[in-house]
Amino acid sequence: MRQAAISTLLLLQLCGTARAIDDAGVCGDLRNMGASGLYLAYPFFSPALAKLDASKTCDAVGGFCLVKPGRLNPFDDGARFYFVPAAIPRTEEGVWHIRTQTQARNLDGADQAYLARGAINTRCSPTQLLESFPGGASYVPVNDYIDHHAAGSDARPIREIGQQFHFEIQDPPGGPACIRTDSRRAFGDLSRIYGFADVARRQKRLARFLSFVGTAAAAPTPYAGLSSEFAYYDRPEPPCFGFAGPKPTRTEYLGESIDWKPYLTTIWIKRLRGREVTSVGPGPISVSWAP
Amino acid sequence: MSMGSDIPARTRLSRRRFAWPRFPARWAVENTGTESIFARGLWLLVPLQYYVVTHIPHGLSGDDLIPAVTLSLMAVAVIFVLSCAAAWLAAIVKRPDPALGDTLTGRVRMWVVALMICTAAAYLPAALSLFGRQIALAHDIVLYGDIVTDALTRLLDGVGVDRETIRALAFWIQAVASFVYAFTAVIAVTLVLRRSRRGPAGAAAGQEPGAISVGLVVACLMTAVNYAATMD
Repeated sequence: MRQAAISTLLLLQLCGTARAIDDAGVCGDLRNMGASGLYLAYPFFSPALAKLDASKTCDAVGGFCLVKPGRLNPFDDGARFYFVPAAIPRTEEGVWHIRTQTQARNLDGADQAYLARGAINTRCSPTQLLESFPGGASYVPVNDYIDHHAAGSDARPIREIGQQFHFEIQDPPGGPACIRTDSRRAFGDLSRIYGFADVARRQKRLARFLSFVGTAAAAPTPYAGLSSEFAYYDRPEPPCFGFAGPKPTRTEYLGESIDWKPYLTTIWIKRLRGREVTSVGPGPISVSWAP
Repeated sequence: MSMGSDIPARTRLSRRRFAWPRFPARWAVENTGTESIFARGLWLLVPLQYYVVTHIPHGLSGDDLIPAVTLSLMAVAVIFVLSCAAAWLAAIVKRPDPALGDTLTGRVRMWVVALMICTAAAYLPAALSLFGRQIALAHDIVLYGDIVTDALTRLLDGVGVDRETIRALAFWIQAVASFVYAFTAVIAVTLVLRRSRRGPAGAAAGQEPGAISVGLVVACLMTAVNYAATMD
């Protein structure tokens, strides 16, 4: 059986068919291992695996290999992060926000952000699937993301982000009332929770044309990839969720297979228990990528 | 005995030629007092436009003061140029009669007054709705854009138009919203000024531009300004 599975995977690899990593399979293996914290999953035939040491755990049937991020990690476009947080009471739904910012040696100026949140049922929407981006993820202009989460009079709600990314969660946890994850009445300054660090609003074309002096806003952001995702978990098993590995989010390279060289991904994970937002861990997690 | 006296009044009225409504711009220049008020109030257009272009979705940043004000001043300059062009075209259709006080300069003045008043009046509700949106946001009442654009988008969403199509129609939605604001301004200003008019129409009445023409020009100008502010 195992040999048949390996043969099938080899055949798929030869045919050049990419096999996406299955979150359920990875989380199942992580639970069996009693794992906790951040993990990296590589596709089973990733060339990056050759650079990993023996600490990796491979699942031939699932088509992936798992490893705890080390000092330097080989980069693969198909790699995906997984996080096993602390257990949550069964009376509560699990809602996490994950934000990643990636710097690369040969790319900067990310002007788009990758947003992901699946079309799922939640406790506040038990019968109707949440409205979502097609395929559960999309790219939005960084300006729109900044505007939607800006504070005070700079706030400009953006329809796609408000309706296809943010959603309602219970507040208090386990209670009947619900609040939106972009509720200013509940959360106040949304940029503290969701905003990208050190990423300024890009100037519009007219502003660049009519500005008589250069401004800090005219300089491109040092980041090559920006992502913001929600993970929702409401099952009896211990929680576990996956989120995207680094992706270039510059308009010219969206969705393309380019030879970019990320060297650092910073990850912020926050748990939303109703309007109470707590960071997971003492600070952001840094994952360094080998050259 | 003239023919007219034998004709019943009802018939005389039915024979009166239909006249397109005119934008009552003459009040602003009828005397030095109103002209002074108008000249000062005219510059309200600049902060109104600044507020709108820095608060519409995908618009300029609030820090882009110089670009936003420059855009507004360019719009004022375009109004002057369009006024000259419109008055010149109107002069081709109906030659001015200086003996009756109808001059080309007077017509240009009327067009400038009409366009400035109408543009400011069109931007006012847009700015107020965007300001109201900020207040509503603090209470978790969300409006995506100004009130007319948001209503149009919700209408399209309500009749089943998919999100991708609505996103592709963003420019046209904005253009329709501009038309709504412009013609609402034309109607509102016309009603207010006609109610406040005292006495018979002045000599400048014949120089006033057509209300529909004013509305169309203002709608196009508003669409162009908002589009320029949202270009990437």
